[in-house]
Amino acid sequence: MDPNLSLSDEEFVGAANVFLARHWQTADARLLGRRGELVRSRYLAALAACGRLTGHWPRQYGGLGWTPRQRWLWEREAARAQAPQPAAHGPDFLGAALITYGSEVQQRQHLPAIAEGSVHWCQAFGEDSAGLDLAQLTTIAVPVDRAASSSTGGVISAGWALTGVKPWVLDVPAGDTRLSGANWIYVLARVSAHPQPEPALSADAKFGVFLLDLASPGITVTPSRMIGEEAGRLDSLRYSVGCVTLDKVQVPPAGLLGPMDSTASLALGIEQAEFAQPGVVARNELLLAQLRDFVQSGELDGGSLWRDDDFRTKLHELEIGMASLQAMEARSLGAESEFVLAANLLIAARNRQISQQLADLQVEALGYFALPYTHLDSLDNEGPIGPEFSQPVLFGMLSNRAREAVLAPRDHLKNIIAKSVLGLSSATLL
Amino acid sequence: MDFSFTDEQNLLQESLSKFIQNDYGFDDRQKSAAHEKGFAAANWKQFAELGWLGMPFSEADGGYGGSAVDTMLMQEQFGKGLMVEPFVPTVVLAGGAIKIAGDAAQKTKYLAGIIDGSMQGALAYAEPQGRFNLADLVTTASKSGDGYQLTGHKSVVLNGPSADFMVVSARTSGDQRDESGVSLFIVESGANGMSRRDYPTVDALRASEVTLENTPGVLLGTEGAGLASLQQVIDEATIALGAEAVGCMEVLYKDTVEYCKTREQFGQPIGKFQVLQHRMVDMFMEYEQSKSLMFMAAMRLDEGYGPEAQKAVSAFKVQVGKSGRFVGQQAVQLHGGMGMTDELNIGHYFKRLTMIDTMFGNVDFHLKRFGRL
Repeated sequence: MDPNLSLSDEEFVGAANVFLARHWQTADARLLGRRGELVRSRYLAALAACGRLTGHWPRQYGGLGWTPRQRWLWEREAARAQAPQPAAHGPDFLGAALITYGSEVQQRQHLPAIAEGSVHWCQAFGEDSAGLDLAQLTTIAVPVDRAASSSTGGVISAGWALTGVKPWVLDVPAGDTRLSGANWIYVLARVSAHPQPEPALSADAKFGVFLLDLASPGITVTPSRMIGEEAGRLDSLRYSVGCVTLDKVQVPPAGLLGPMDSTASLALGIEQAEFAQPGVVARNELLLAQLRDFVQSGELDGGSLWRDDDFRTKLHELEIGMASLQAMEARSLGAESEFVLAANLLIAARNRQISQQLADLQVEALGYFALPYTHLDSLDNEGPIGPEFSQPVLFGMLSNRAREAVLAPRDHLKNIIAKSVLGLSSATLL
Repeated sequence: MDFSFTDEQNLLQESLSKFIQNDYGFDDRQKSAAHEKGFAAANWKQFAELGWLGMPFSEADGGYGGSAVDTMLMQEQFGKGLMVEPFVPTVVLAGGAIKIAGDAAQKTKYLAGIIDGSMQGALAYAEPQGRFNLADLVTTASKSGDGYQLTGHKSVVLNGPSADFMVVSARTSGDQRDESGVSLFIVESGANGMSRRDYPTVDALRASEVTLENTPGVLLGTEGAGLASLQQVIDEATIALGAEAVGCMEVLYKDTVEYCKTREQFGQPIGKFQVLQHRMVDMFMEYEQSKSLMFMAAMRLDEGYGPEAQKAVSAFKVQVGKSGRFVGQQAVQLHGGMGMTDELNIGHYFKRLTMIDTMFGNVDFHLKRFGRL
């Protein structure tokens, strides 16, 4: 047992910091508005150019072959440097699925584009009627060619036409500014055996994950404004949620990812990848340290908040919670896959709780300065109102809540832990 | 960052785990607790023969290990068995004090006796008025000839009834709560002027109220500078006790899950109800979070004793205090009336966890200490 980094870990961290020092100044994290957005996209481009966007992929797929430990160390250092976080859909979720389930053609087409950062992905799984219960999906892929429907029930097709509405898509390009946001989308849909889709949902329905260019004819993206967002106020445009409408979008055969009978495990793999967010605790630790500095500075009512036992108790409880999650992350590195999954689920569930408690505490510390809601143009021209760290706080607090609600909520994570870790049976999950 | 055990540690854990599984079931434990002294002398003899009593001591001190991680992994297993044998009072507390503050002669005499199982010890540090403040001492010691004489009242001295000797904290100078002026002494049981009122604790251990009146004692360590040593012993013991709590929590959450899978009400296993599932998930998470901080605390302590280690200890104790209570309470709730019967083990683990929260400072105490460090 050793709480310190090994020599080779130290070397890896050293190299990570050299990269960060070259491409990212911690002060950049304080840049708001459009300038901030520009600096961030420049950094993300550097990340892709050095392979660090997909460092955890095996070398033969264009990665750097990082071990889980190295991935974690990298994310931790990047978090401590306050570097922007790239969207995870391509590098983490779809990337892993392509490596496991994709055909050679699909891998050649999509993996290099993700690694180079030239294609950004977003994910369309849930729907109005199918939140966590994905079996209720109504988006449907219909084979284009009637003759291709085989008598054995298998679906052989020269392609599909996709129709449906996906209202909760994260990281879609927002509004008229296209600095970030996705340009491709992967869609979970029901697959019809016949050109005329069955009106009722059949129990033995088949599902598929389809890969689409967002610019394909028949796709409409409508940004949905979440609480805390306002046109022109988005600090990070990829955080926005949008509604994607598909109207008979034509998909070629290579647009279906993997064989259809592996769709369930593929979707499960993507769901599990969503729980694993290496470095996520370090980002909260940094926010907590900033809050601590702010409260300790003594400028507020003579430092009364720092001397307030109730406030301090809440702060220290968060610190201890984060310390245990950090240790949990470290314990899971290189552990057996069952424990890794359990640890990831636990960290995801607890960290969401901690993020929201932290945001509540930030708002509590800000007092009146939690109120100002500065427009992007005003930030660009006149700078922030109130303490520097107050700017992203309220936005962060609200968008965190929106994000948690759109992604799997805590209670759902608990359902999964109950089933997959404790072996308690319950209603069927996909 | 490496959370793996050495081969020796793996073997140690395996042999302890086997002992708890095969020879220390709940009935065996109840039989141990029912002995006159509150534990089975035969078990203690076996622990000595297996070398377990020497694990927390370095080879230089006549032991076989000496790391906090060693003690931690043993205590975790002992916790699973809800062990009543006085490993913490004798080995970790009394032995720890002598390991940290003793001179060569004292180590030879007492550590050898602890390691071969022939000697029982206790640490008498708490006083009726002092709560968790180790420096709040009314007991005094004054020089008398070659040695010292101690006068005062020490409270809840675990293993007091069986102890052959006690390490006692007393004030040699300064005011009641001064940090300096605290000294440690070795007092032989039955020494002149010592009287004991022995009693069982809620969690089936044995303890004593000890009164000293001009009782002879031998100085352990430097006069007036005993607080630092005492604090270190208590911090080491806090990890040990916390590890025991982690062992208890593991048994409770796993037993509860098993119970809820088989217990049927309303025509189905109660483990199918989502409300109960989420409670069990919370139990599991509390256990794992405690275990994570347990590893950190033990590793930090093995890095060297200082503020960093102290902070890790307090973080661990806060987590253990909260988690232990939560897991204990939920286990009782989910077992229903059965959970509170004397016959079932659940209620006994619950009692132990509740007492562990209080020992060496509860959640509030360690949260404040964490904030100060």
